[in-house]
Amino acid sequence: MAGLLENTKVLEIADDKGAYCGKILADLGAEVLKVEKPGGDDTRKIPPFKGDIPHPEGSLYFAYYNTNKKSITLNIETKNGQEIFKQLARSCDVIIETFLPGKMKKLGMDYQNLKRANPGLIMVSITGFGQTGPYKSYLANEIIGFAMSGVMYECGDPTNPPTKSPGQLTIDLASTYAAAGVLIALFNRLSTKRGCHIDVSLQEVGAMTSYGPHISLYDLDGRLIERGGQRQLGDPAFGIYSCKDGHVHIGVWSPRQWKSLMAMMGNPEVLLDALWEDRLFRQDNRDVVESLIMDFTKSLTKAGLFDLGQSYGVPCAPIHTIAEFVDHPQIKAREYFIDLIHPYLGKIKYSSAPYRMSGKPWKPKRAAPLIGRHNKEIYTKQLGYSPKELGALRESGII
Amino acid sequence: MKNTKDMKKRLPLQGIRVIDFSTAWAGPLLSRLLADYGAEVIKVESSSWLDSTRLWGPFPQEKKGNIEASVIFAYLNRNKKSITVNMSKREAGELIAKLINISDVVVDNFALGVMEKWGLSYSQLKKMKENIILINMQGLGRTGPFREYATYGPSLMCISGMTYLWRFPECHEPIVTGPLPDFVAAAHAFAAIIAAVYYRAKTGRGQQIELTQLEALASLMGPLYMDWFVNDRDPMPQGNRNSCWAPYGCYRCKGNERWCVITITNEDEWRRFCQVIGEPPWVRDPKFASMGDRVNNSCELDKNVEAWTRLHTPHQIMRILQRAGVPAGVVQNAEDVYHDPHLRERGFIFEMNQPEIGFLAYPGLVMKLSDTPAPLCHPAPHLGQDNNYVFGKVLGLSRKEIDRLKKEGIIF
Repeated sequence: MAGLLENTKVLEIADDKGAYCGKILADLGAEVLKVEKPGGDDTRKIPPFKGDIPHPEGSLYFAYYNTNKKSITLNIETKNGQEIFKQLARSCDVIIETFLPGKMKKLGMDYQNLKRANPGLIMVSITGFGQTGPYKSYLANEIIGFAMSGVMYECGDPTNPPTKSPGQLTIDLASTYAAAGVLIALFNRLSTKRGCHIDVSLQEVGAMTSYGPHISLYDLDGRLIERGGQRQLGDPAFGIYSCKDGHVHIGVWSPRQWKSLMAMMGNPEVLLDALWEDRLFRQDNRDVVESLIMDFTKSLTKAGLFDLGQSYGVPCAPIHTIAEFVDHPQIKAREYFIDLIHPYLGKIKYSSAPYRMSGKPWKPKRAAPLIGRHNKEIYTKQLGYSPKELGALRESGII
Repeated sequence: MKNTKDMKKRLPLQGIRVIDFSTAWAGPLLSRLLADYGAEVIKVESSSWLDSTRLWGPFPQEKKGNIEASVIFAYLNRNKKSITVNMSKREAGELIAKLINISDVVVDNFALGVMEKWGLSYSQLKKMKENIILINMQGLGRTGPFREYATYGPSLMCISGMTYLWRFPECHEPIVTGPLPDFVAAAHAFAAIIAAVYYRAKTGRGQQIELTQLEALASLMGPLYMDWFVNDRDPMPQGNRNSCWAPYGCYRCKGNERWCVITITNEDEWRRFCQVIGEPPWVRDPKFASMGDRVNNSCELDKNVEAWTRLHTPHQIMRILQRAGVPAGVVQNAEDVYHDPHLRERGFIFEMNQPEIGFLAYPGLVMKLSDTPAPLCHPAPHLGQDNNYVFGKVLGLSRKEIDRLKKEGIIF
């Protein structure tokens, strides 16, 4: 069964900043052509590798971010390569690119130029700082985008430097918004018949993910959120506690939840006064609250506290390792991980899409492509090159 | 000519009507994204059950506890309309059914069962409007033994494995970090809804989208799970360290709690870095000769790098290194971001006048679409602000009828 985006053609000429955007569209059924440089995309060098052995087809990172895509190789630094790209751009709906602003123009592949031959073309550019402004030419990646957004400053424990997230949070969120932007543009194109250029900046996407809108809070009363470690917001009823077999998070926000926490802990006499319902009061007298919660959690298990919290209406959650998440009965019952067969990696488990759509159910079809796996299909069938011409392109290093 | 100009001015999601039952963070952020791009979002509220962000604040000093003065509520609910109904009354359900009949999307992020109790399950919604698009955004999903568990952003981050990993190995206990899962869920829901809207425009068919917030967060950790499946490795916290590149990480600068990030991922960048910091003798140490050597001796390397970064402010370092073609940035705090000349010039930061708060700076549009005009910027609605518009103009009820519904506590 084809997906929602059946018959939508996407060209992805992108580094790690755009791969997840392409994956979302490919998983929704679009035909996404990943344009790799001859020899393979640089993201094929990103660990982890199967068996920890670096190999261009062995990167689990690449395997995850490129499901359902096709791969062709093309050297766009050559004149011929640029011509071929423009040919592909003429018949596609969407281009995902992540170059520094100006680079596509230098190659004659910028939006203004390409849309002349294809007015319905939609291009999304995902860069560190966007297409305009004084920092637009600054080099960027996940950690730089995250740092410049103002969020990294708030993350970590006070005895270590500000700390990046596991994975690539800013990039993947930017890619998700970019995919949403492409879909908005596709929808809009149904009535206007025109495409558009979408500008996504890692810094801006990152700046949206702070505790509250951090610039608004700063503007309101000058507050800065500092790295707080286990009790980031100061309230002892919102933080991480150790228990019998690890750690749990207790996340009390409202007075109602505080009362539920008290009930769960058997209403300790010391905390019965209504004064304790005030977050700031708790913060000023944190030692009292902290030691009582510690005493309570230490004899219980993470799973036990998760259940107990639910029955009392206390936000309380187990802190899992990766293996504990994977083995969790909820994840297993939902069959969140599914098998795909990859020519080099073999049969392995992949995360499925986080949305299940009744209209066109998400269906994994293909594992990530091998380098240039679809050269023949695209160059001969779609663009009409003869096998001889294809050989010549290969010899001259264009594909 | 006027026509084309008007066409150009049209926001891309104009004409899409969204009935939004969501509260707190993930759902309201999702519907705000839809509203930012032109959808008409009608937030269904009730005086007897307030959206928790109306109560959270923070508030301006003199407006503590004023439900119309919460900064977070203003941020999450701009560009929306608000109606108030008491869903426990039968007639309220009928009003909502009429509204859904002329709407396109319904948003739900309640715990499992609430919408069903109100007669708003997908099969019931379909009877009100055949091609409705419904998104249900439960924390742990609508199936499985934990489906009824209520969760919040921090809980989801803990359950997914992300909290465990988000720290330096030297930090022995896990730490708390922001409400990220809400943002991640909202972004994925946003994409999924527009995919469904696009599909409906082409085929006429609506659908139900089940978005599981935990799974949205897990989507950002795919390779970590694969490392477990393929290599039997339960990943451990890494801090900012990178197994391929060094120097790579966050370095202390001149000033109190001032930090920069520097990432050197190839030999060219390394040579330019050495040059720009004045070729101190340590850069010639064979311990740092190749990328592999630098990664293996990264602790010592980082100390040397930090000896240089401590002499400069983070903004100086970004400027010096970026001019030399070395990727670097400032670990900006909210004050830096507020004044950031780049974000200001791009118009990302904008001032909104929320009546009970006054002018305040907020983060703007998450992406810019060419040919699309400056975004709408209506402040977040007062509770029930649009009752007369929605029930009168949109549903066509008479003034008298609306007054009766108010008196009987149905519009409430």
